[in-house]
Amino acid sequence: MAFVPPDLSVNISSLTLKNPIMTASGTFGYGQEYASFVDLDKLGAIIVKGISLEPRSGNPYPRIAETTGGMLNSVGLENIGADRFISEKLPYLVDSGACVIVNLIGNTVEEYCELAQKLDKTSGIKGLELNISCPNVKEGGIFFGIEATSAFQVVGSTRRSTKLPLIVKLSPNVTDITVIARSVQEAGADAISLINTITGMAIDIETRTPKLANITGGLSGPAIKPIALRMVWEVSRVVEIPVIGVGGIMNAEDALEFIIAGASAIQVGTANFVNPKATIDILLGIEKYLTDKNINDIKTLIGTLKI
Amino acid sequence: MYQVLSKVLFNNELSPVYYRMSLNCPEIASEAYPGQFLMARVSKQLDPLLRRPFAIHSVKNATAKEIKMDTSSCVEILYKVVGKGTKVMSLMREGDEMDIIGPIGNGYRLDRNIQTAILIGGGIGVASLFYLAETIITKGSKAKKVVFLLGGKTKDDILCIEDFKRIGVEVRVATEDGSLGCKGVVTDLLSDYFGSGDYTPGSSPYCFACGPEDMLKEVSKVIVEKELPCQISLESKMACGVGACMVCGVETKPQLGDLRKGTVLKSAKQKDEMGYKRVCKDGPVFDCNEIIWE
Ligand SMILES: Cc1cc2nc3c(=O)[nH]c(=O)nc-3n(C[C@H](O)[C@H](O)[C@H](O)COP(=O)(O)OP(=O)(O)OC[C@H]3O[C@@H](n4cnc5c(N)ncnc54)[C@H](O)[C@@H]3O)c2cc1C
Ligand SMILES: Cc1cc2nc3c(=O)[nH]c(=O)nc-3n(C[C@H](O)[C@H](O)[C@H](O)COP(=O)(O)O)c2cc1C
Ligand code: FES
Repeated sequence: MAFVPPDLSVNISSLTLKNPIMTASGTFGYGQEYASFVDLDKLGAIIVKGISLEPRSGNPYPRIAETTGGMLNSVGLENIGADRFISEKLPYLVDSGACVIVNLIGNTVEEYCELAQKLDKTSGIKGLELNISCPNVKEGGIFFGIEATSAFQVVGSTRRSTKLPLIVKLSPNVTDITVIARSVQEAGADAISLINTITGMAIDIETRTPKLANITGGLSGPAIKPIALRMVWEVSRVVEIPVIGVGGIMNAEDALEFIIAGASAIQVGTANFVNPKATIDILLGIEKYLTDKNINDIKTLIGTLKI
Repeated sequence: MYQVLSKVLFNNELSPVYYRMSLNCPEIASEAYPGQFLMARVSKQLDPLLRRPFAIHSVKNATAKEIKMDTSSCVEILYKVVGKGTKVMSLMREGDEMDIIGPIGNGYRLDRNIQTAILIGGGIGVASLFYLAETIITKGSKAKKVVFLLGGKTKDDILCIEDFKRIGVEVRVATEDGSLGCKGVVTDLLSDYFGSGDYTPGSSPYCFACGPEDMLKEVSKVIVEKELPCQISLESKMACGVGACMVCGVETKPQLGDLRKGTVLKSAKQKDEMGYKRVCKDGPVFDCNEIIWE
């Protein structure tokens, strides 16, 4: 019998991805930076660096510190703004055949809505990912993503501003992530991605100064994988919408763990820095696993954890 | 830009903390130019996790005959052991493999008509300046002079001076403890040069500097006063090395012509326009007038 490659396509609400591999926002630039290593159209989706309405310059330097098995970053919200993204970066991505998902950041509910409306009218964008780990300035600097009521509000309002598939990205810096996940689902999210980075810090003992100019930063990389996996498992059990797993995925084995735990797709972040072809290597590794195990459709593997 | 699993051809200890390593990577060797760098993954495991940046110190492109004989093209790096990653590298042997990405970045821009070049280096900054000196001497106009001013803490930090002399560079050295050359820092050498008969005002030598940030800042001051062109190579902590992650950066002034004369930059929006530039992608070599020193 002729060899039939396994079906790798997955559905994120109305969006069908050719495979479950996405790039994590902020770790893959606007795609073009990695084009000498990866055929962008081979990936399930490219999630670009978080975009705000106006350009932002981000935090002071140093913005990075390597830690054991991970890295802390305090890039902040540095980005070129929606208008320049649309005119300078999007055309290349669309031409490359990539499935483009835009990560959104805002200070206020109004800003998220205005941005969503603007991107809704732009052709070539296949979906939005709402980063709600940004400060809610109106409520005095708390984060939308750590409190269920404000998460509900920002997701609900953005939902009404766009018809594009809406993924909401959750912060792990909360007591019970399932509470936030439920309220985000109720507010109309099409999918949930998790996790964003975990707040951490590092100190230079010679100078007794923080290694990051911002003092604290977000931890990413292999060190956070067990936490991300636990949260994906917890959330996928309590919501009906698809869950996208992110956090410390370095290879195909890591990605498969997330899929078995309940993730319909996965995002590759810090691994891109270590191996610029990580996304493609993970894709090939997953395909090989399915073939070896005689699984002809990846969808049948999602959430099959035996307890 | 290529990702290459390169073979270590040699990894020689020059002094207890300094090493020179040769890596077989024809793709990178054939495209590299001075001032560009590599991102090296020093471990196949995940610790140390991130790649380390290293300047290209020299490039050997095999001749057609050598390629037939399989004597391949390589790039050399010169490095100082300062932490976990460089320690791992120092233990590598001939035949070991290291995953590298390169050539990366905007290196030194060379005018073919350079008559006089002043290279100013501090410590491990010699790494990129050697490839630059080789290139200036082998390409471009005939009648040219390359002066290399090198500073370091002690004589142990003064590397490669014989290599520079061998290719015809005039070398002047300063050490902070006076153990080699004159006692002082590299800006003293620079001031001496400008004060001496070697320098004729109006002769416009090109200046190139690479070294610690404090040194570059002081060097820039001296050179800006003389209104001479100067390119400097900066360092910054990096993650991706390809312009994607925005962790490396330097605050720069707006490009000439971007703003009307006399504009005072105050608001956040104007600051955004001034912009940060990425050391990995927009640099690592910048015009010294571009940089806003803290
Ligand atoms: C463009 C560029 C070119 C360079 N060229 C050379 C060279 O030719 N020879 C050489 O010896 N060194 C060079 N460096 C510095 C070199 O990258 C660091 O010394 C090296 O990364 C230290 O790694 P480590 O694990 O030994 O040190 P650790 O202190 O354990 O490193 C911890 C983290 O900090 C980063 N880091 C530490 N020091 C530096 C530094 N000075 N610059 C940037 N990142 C740093 C490391 O990459 C790593 O992510 C260059 C740096 C840059 C940015
Ligand atoms: C340098 C850097 C920048 C990031 N920028 C963003 C961003 O703009 N928006 C966002 O939602 N997440 C951002 N993230 C978080 C990642 O998308 C991802 O959630 C996190 O790094 C965990 O995955 P990883 O361990 O695979 O890197 C960033 C992470 C890093 C390391
Ligand atoms: S190191 Fe990632 S942008 Fe420069």
